Amino acid sequence: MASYQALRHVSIGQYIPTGSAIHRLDPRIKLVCFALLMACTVIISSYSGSLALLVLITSATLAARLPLGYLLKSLRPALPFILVLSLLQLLFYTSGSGAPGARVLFERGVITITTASVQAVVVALIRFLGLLLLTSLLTNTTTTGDLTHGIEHLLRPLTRLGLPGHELALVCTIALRFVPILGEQAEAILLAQASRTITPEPHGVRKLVDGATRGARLVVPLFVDAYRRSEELVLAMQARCYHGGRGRTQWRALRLAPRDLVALGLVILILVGTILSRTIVLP
Amino acid sequence: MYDERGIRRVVNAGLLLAITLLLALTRIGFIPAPTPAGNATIAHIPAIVGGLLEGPLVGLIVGLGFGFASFTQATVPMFKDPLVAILPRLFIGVTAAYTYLALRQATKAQLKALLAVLLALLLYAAWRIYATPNEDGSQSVLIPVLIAVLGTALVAGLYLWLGKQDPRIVVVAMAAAVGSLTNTILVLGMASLRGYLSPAVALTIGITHGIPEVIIAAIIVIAVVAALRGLGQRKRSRVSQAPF
Amino acid sequence: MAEPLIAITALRHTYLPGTPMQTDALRDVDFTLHAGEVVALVGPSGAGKSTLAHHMNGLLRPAVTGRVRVLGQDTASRSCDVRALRRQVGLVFQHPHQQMLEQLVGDDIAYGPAQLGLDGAALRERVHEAMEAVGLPFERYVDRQTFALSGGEMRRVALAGVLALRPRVLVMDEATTGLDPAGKEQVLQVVHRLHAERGIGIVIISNDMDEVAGIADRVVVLFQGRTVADGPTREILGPGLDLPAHGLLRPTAGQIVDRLAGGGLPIDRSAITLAEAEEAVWQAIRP
Repeated sequence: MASYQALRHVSIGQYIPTGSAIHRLDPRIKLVCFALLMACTVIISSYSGSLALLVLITSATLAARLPLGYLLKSLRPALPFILVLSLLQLLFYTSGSGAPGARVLFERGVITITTASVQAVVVALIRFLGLLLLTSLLTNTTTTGDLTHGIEHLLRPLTRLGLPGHELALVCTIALRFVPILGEQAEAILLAQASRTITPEPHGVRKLVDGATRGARLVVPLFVDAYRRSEELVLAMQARCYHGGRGRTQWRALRLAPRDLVALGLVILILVGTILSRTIVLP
Repeated sequence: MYDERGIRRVVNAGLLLAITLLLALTRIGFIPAPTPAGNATIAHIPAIVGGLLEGPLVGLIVGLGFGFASFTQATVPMFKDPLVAILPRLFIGVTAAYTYLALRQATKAQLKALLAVLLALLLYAAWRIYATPNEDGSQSVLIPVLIAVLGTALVAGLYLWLGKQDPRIVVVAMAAAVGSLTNTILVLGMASLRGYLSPAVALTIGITHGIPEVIIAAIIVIAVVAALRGLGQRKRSRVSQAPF
Repeated sequence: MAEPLIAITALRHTYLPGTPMQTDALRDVDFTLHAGEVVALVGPSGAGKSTLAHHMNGLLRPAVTGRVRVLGQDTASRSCDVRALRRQVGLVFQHPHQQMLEQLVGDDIAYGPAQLGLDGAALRERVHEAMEAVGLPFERYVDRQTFALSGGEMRRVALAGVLALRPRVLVMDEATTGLDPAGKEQVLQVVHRLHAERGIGIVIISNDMDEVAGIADRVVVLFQGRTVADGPTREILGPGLDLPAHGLLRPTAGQIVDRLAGGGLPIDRSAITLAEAEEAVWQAIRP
């Protein structure tokens, strides 16, 4: 029951203020760097490449003075899953076993382990760690407000290409603004519906049907409530003569500083290096 | 975007995205189900609802949000891969939207014909899988039998249901099913392509996880659409004495 | 005296302990409810009234200190079946649409008794009884859509759903807030009738002092998570207590006689209903 009370405090990553240089970077730069580095992790497939990337990301995390132990704590409950899935991947990996230069290390029945499969699993794990730290690097150093600002600014040039940039940014702002409100609603709904549950928890198949119906019962009023709020908001926006993004001014303006360009430059270099490393086969 | 419809789409997209985040980032987005993981996700449902009620663009945006939220919450390498977590999720709302748009005006007879065609395709696929030998020369028996049996059961069930139900509800259910299957198939397919799972394992998970998820999604989406659009609501309470 | 239906002693409740969002909702609360009583729980927003109400049907259980005994059972003990408890302790929330479980009114009210195994004519009878009790004509409302009802109607459906279980304790959390005068009157009529006919214990959480004056036997005042006053209605709402210090005001009648007395009129300040105030004014101006 106590976990109900946390619903209104839902957030993607907790902002951890440490006053580092990375915290002070422009959110647009952080978002762009995040996307580019994420692309790097996807492209990379060699031992040295993925390790280098992991080292870079870890140094950035340390530079941001984020507590590494705390960030990795979330992995602890998932550790068995990670091990089992990695093991399964190792034993049954098929899509790369035909790669040039792959030596077979072990073969019995349906199980084939080649150097390629070992590499794939290890690289996947390294990549996973990198992405984990990268995500917290973004979400723990940037407040939600700054993130939305950054997204909004980044999406603006899209308007010139004919895409609804400002509207997309508004979608994000509305969403983030309503998460705690709907969270509170969900809490109240859970409590109210729990009050009306008077039979003991069923077992076996009944438990599954029960769980599904309870899930549906929670979600439907939530949708109804959300739509009611959307009607109100639409009216409010019309009442204030909302006319799209053209000519809108910001309360807070974002300005690029030299350190932002330095960071961006570094990341672009990393990206170029990553792409090159694919063309040159590395160990 | 200056007219009411445009504003409405933006606001609804925002709110559906908010619900998605709430479901994807907390435990209320998982409900107990007979799957290998012990529960099924319902965080993809706002994307389906968005696609159905607001169109493919909204479905795309909400799906993207679901993908990103799911990505940040992932604790295993397979789901921390953006190509597996984010890219496939873009299409959940889109496929649901187009399914709905395509079938929205269909009559019962047309839907029944569609079901017949679907069954024919499934049986043909099952037969082809059976007829083509595997890499090691054996013949897969289990998979084609599964496909044939499940496919027939599904189509027969839908056929009977169509008989006594408003076709629009069946269309909503089918659109929801397509959306949920898009999630399952594309995510597992991507995982398999990226080498995390072998195709056989992906298929098994797809069936054991995907089918309960589809049923749950259909039930919930119908309930939501009924509450929001007044579609297909039951007329008589169980305690009512008035004749039907 | 028979054992109280609810006995809460020295209750403390903290939300989200150990996180940056930790809040002490209840610090030291005592509360009792006896059969046949109507007790009003009053206090400014944030005083902890709803939190206390949630302890009464096992939604929350004492975690830090304090004891909560409901219908003879200790809610903190593992052997306490809270779900069974909820059959006997009905909680009605302020926002009824959060409590709706079904599309149709009849189904929603029938939800509780159906879970107990009632069916067919017996179920219909029970739903009928509950709907009559809250003033919703059976034929007219049984097939209506729950989400399409007005606020007042939905509230009465929520109340009916709880009453259909024939609970021994009824807790109404701000059940009349936001209703128009006619709606409020209707709900209060229901409470009066229940009180008279069934003798169940009723807890009314409200900030409307006029309402409290008209219906409660006893008033408990909560302030910043602590019980600061507990006594007969007349005493708590009378001139003796400093209610404004606790974020509350006397009933309108009490405020009127207070002001008149403050202006120099030798008037009896103990009035808490308008009728009493009128009587007191006449008494004071006649020689």
